[in-house]
Amino acid sequence: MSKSEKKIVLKSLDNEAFEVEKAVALQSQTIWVMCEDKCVGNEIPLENVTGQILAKVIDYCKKHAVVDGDGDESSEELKNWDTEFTKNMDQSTLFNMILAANYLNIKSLLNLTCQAVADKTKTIDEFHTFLNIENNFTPEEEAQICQENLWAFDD
Amino acid sequence: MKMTYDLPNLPVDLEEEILSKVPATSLNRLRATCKRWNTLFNKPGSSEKHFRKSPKQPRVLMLKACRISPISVDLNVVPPSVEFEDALSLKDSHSNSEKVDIAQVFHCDGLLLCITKNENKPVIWNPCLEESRWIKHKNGYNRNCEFALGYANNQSCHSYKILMFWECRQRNKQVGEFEIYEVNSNSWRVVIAPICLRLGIRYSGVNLKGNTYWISIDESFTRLHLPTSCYHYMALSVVREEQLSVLSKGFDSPVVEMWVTKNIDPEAELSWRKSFAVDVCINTSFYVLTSLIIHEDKKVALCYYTVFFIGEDDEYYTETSCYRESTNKVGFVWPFMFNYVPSLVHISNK
Repeated sequence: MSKSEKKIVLKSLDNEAFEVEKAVALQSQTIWVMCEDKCVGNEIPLENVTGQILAKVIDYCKKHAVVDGDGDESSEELKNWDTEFTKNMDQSTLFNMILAANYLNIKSLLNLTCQAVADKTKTIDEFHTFLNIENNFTPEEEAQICQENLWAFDD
Repeated sequence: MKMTYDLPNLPVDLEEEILSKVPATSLNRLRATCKRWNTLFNKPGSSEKHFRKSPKQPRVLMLKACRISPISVDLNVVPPSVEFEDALSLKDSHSNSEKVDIAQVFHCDGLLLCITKNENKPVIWNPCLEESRWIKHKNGYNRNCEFALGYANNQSCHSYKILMFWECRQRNKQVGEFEIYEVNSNSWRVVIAPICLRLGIRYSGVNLKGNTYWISIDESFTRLHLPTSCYHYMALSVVREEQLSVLSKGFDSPVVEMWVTKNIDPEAELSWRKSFAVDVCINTSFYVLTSLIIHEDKKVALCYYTVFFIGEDDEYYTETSCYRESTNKVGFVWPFMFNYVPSLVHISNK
């Protein structure tokens, strides 16, 4: 295989182009299917992902491709990297990362980002904001449910 | 070009993906988020489905003085400290104020099967949801009864069952029978099984993945290998819902050994590995009724009947004798420690 065939160009919704190793990009099942399916040259348009998010997804894939490849890095280290990776993401970034991981079909990234949301989102209000859910209880109903939830194990 | 995003609604499957990462106790609180979630978590099937995937947050509970109390263990201090929290309150079926004395407890999937002290009545209780179900039997429970809680593993949801063995003397003959209570149908049925079971009253059974394990002083349903024989004291427990563990100590040996199972396959023989051994340097008065591994690497276990820790580096153990029960007040109940994983498994009849 020539050098160029090993590279692939991913193009974001806002027309940002990223040249990456094929091995990196193929962690996405969606891209893998696209590559198998039709020869789109070596440029793949990703219509649901912005450049800002795609850059992060590629960071993740690069890290995980390297580790899968040579096995030098311990899984412990990788776990720490994952934690750092999501630690400082704001809610809107996380939200879009979840959508991107889902669209690109990268199971481990989807797991990681969903876990990050579950860890960061503690209160009901935070869930309302994050998931854009409306509180449709009447105040009486809400009080009733909170009453039922007097849970002895609250930390 | 800088783009701004209005957050759209997350597709329902992604929403569920996130919720499946939330531990059961927090999730229960999140019922108040919106009507849809409240319905979702109240539906028996879906809340159980969630529980299979949700992160396990085991707590240590202990039956002592006829109450079930959470114990918190702080491993960051040397020696580790232990603290009993306020007992969970199980209410009587009739009056809402009367608290129930519990003589025995089994744990399975966040459900507690408690046997009351005075009437020997079984009740299934989910303290996380504050739901309970008192189980009636046409003949009552005046006979000599032993109980266990388990489940049959169907594809989608577990069907919980209570196994009861009763025996009594009738016309100078000892008779006994096994019966199974099905939670789904709320009914008892008799099962035919060889009656060779005499459970040592010292030991509560423990449940792992639906199957109950006892240390028996006689026979058992299926004999499984223990790590070692000719030991005087043994205490069986479950580690993180994954393994069985056994504490054992020879009669005249100062060494306490902790064993854990390498595999749990109901079809195969149990195989064991020694987790750690500690010379406790005390005489034969060492007497353990129940034990629980708290941290395998740090070699910390919680044992009772004196509460103490087996510590790191084979070097110390700490006895904390202030938790001895005052037995004359409530009558004697064998203490029992176990890991408890809160769950959203519904149990009430409503």
